[in-house]
Amino acid sequence: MDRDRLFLVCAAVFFCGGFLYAITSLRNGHYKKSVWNFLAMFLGLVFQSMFLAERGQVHERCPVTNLLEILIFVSWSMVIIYLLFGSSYRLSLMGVFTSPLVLIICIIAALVPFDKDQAIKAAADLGGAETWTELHIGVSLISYGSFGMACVAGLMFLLQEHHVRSGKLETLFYHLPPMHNLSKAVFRLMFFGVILLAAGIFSAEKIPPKGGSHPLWPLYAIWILYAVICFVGFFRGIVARRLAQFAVFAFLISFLSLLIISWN
Amino acid sequence: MGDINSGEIFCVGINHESAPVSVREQMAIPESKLGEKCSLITKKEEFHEAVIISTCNRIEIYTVANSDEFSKLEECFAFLYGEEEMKSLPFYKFRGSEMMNHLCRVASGLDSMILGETEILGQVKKSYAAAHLAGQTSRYLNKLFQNVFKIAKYVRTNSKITRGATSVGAAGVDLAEKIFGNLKDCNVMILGAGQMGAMVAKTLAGRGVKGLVVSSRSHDKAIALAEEMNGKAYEFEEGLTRLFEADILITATSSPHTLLTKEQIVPAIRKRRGRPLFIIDIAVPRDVDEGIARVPGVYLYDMDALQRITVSAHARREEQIIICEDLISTEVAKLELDISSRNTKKYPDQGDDPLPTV
Repeated sequence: MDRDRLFLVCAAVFFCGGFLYAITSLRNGHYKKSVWNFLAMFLGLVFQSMFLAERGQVHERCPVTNLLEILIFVSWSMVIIYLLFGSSYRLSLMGVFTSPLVLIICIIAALVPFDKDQAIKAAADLGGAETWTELHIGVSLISYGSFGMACVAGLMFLLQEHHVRSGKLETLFYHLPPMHNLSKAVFRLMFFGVILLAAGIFSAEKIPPKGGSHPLWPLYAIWILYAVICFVGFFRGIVARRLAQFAVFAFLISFLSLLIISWN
Repeated sequence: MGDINSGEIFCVGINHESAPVSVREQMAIPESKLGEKCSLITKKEEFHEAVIISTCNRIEIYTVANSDEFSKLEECFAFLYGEEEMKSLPFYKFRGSEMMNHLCRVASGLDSMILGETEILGQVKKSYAAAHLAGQTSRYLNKLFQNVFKIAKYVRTNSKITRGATSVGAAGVDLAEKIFGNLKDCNVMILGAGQMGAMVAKTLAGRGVKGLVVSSRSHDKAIALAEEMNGKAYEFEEGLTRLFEADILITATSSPHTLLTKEQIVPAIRKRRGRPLFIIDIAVPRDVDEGIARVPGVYLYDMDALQRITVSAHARREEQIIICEDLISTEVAKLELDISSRNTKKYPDQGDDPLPTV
């Protein structure tokens, strides 16, 4: 196995381990602020970073030249956003929900057929490191990470709402944050993503035109989708359940847009 | 307090299972008198150290004496209340590990009327503090009570005995906190000035809500309740037009028909700009049309729904009893060993005791 793939497997093992530990402790009723889940996420991030660094050295540019690398970059952004914001907003359980999503993305990435020589050639075709290109790729994919985390917070909201509506006040009900905090997190993460994606699109427009570059329309479409909901939410207000459903739905659409971009 | 070279800790008392409330209420001792009453026991030569626990559900005396005093333990109650009244009371008595187990069960809420209630630990701590401040505890009871407090905390942390709402009011608070997070930003409106509505509103107000409004067809009653709860009173019709201001709406009127329909709630929800509305309908017949529960952003609970929550919480707490008892047995075995090893040492002066952490 290549060294970079090995890093990916190690990251997946940590995400999986952290998730299983958190679920087991939740089921046994001993889940507190899970230091182990946080640590597992951090170590998973370290291995993801090592994978991206390895690829960066090979390509001599931001390592986002194919679907595998794009997916890893998005999941890497999600973990960073979780580590930065998740604990500060008392959303410690977010890690339990983030790790399976990141794990799935890692597994999909690991299963994607990958021709290393072709990737190196593609990277060479795209040219070396160029400021606007690097900025466009980096910032845009971090915005996708933010949308991914909004999706995670949205799923947590829908689950908590299910508990509240059904009156089943069981273990997870007590560990999940209040719905109000979750809907605030969903809105803020989407808004953060909209700002970053705007910066990503702006920097894309500054890239000198050349062959091999990807179409920008999927990015515009995603930006409009999220911007409209943020605008409506800010100026008119949206029922939190709708906002959460939108965050989940819109991330699935965003994920599809990544496929469109990487196939072009 | 008299001196003793080797003693044993005994417990004697009555509780809600052994004596009716009519007996318990006559024997209740206010917190301010606990220390003084302990001294009535320790004045007697045969009893050294005393702690009296007096709550609405129990009156228990913990004292230290020579082993052969166990049979005369009821006399402690006679010192407090006089001989005659005490003869026919159904006292229970414990010694050794049974006594420790019992006190741990009491402090952990396993012996309470509401299984797993947390207030009892505070009451036991206050009882101990009163006796200690009055100079009525020393080596044996200090050791016992301080360890029991640790065990009770350990039991709570390592089990789910305190989890879940066991009253309608507490269920309402649990749900409200999971919907809104901090209740300090929430406005509460009560429709109807009856006792049940007031009870639930008081539980919520206890968590420090932002504002409280009472609206009732009987405006005088609304004013009285609002004043009692430091809130405002609205005429009934005005209350209905101001529904959009409420985050938590408690309806408890005696109206024979539905008061709030979907047509009234939907415009109020629109005005709330996405902020949720939590409705607790404890009226029978119900004040709120059940179809309102399907409106996005509205969370509606009637009396049955809240009672289902309390019943299932109680059942889950009962499942925890075995876990708690196992935890207590293990810890009591360690404590018993520790205390019995001290029995062989000379009983120290009261002045030698470190101040307990209460």
